Amino acid sequence: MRSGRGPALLLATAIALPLLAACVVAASGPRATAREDAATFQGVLGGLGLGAAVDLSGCAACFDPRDGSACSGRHEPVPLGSFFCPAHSGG
Amino acid sequence: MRKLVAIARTGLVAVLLHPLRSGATLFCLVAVLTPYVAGVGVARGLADAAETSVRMGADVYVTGVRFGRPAPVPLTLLDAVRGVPGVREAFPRIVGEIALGSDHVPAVVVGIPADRVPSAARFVDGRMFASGAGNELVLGAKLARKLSVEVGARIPPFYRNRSGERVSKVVGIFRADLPLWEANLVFCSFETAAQLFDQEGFATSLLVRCEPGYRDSVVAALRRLPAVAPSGTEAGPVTPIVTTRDDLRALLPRGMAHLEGIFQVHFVLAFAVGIPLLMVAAGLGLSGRRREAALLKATGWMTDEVLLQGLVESLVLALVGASTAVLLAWAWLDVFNARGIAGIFLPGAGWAPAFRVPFRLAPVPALLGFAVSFAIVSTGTLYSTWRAATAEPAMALR
Repeated sequence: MRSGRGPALLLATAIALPLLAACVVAASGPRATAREDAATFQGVLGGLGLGAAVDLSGCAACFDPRDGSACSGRHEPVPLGSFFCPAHSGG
Repeated sequence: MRKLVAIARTGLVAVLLHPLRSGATLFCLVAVLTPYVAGVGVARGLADAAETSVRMGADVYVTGVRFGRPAPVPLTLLDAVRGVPGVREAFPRIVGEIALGSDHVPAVVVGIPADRVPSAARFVDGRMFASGAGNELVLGAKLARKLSVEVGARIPPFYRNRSGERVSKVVGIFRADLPLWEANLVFCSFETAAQLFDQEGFATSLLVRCEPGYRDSVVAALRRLPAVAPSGTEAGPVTPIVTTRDDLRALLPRGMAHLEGIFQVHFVLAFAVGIPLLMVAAGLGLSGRRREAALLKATGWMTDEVLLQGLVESLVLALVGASTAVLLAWAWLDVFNARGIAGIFLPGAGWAPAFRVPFRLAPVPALLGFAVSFAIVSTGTLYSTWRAATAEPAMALR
């Protein structure tokens, strides 16, 4: 690696890796068909889900506040009580 | 110019000359940056999914309150809503929670009128429920797996209803790559949902779509609607509450920024711990670096040339480290479906989510990761190099 080819290989790696990373960043996210299906799914259901919860058992408001659900995990007026809800505190 | 290129080349050689120092620095960079890039990617993916939910949803949602708390909306309100000029369509929806199976698996029941649902869809294995066909259910992928049911399975009565209970039939299962909110879904007709909850004549919300250009007037008219008492019961009136798509759009960034912000705070703390580690790793070969700089100075190199060599070394390490972190974050999210990190953002997702975790890698966190890693690595490298380069070569070599 300490021969003449080592630095050239390292330079090629230092150029190729960021390019590859840029391609990955540009191409990341759902594929076109998945995006289309997601839009159809939401259209059929009338829009469902808006937060980080995947069911109503923890924090209904974090699943979808559209149905007037209130957050059951908040402990206000305790100071910082809202952060006790795992769906809101991210934990 | 050729001289600068030659000096820059020695920076590349310096990376290879000290594999332990370079390897330790790269390891620290990747260990700190990968969770950050992956976490922000999940937060962005979640925000995108929620934006689709708002965009494809109804223009206006009418819910109800009683005693200042959420209450079901009487279906008697539906005619009044449909009578507002500019309303293209209005239909009721039930969203509620049930527990299924002996393990009481939580599920989200969503019921809408069967005539609004296509009979088949690409994202469903099997078919959608039919109108007037009894308790036909379409289940979320995660729920179906947990209950070990397949298309065609029959579920014995799991609810109580004053008019009696029925066996339910699973006619379809959602594909797992749909938005995450399908995971625990039980999708059925409005009548079936009303029967599951024994709540005839009520909905949890009324969904309204408006004619183009009428939304503001429709919202104003809906906000003037009087409180409505459910027919056939002694219960008091329910006051309608109107939520527009714009209200939800305003809510969306706040919630997502909150989640992402909390992650960023955790990351800053982790990074604060990582910085000394990185500085130690970058200056791992401090004595070697001092000797190297002194030798270069003794052979006629200027201080700025020695620093340029260190700068190139830092730049290469930061580029390779940050890029590797982005690639590993992508593999973590795409190939391994965010195992381990999804639970931070999605309560209930667990260690290995049974649904497709949404993610989108954004350029800004990736560039930020590179900038921060370059700043840290170059600080560690350049400071020790400068100290050695500005000392007398004889002193440094001693």
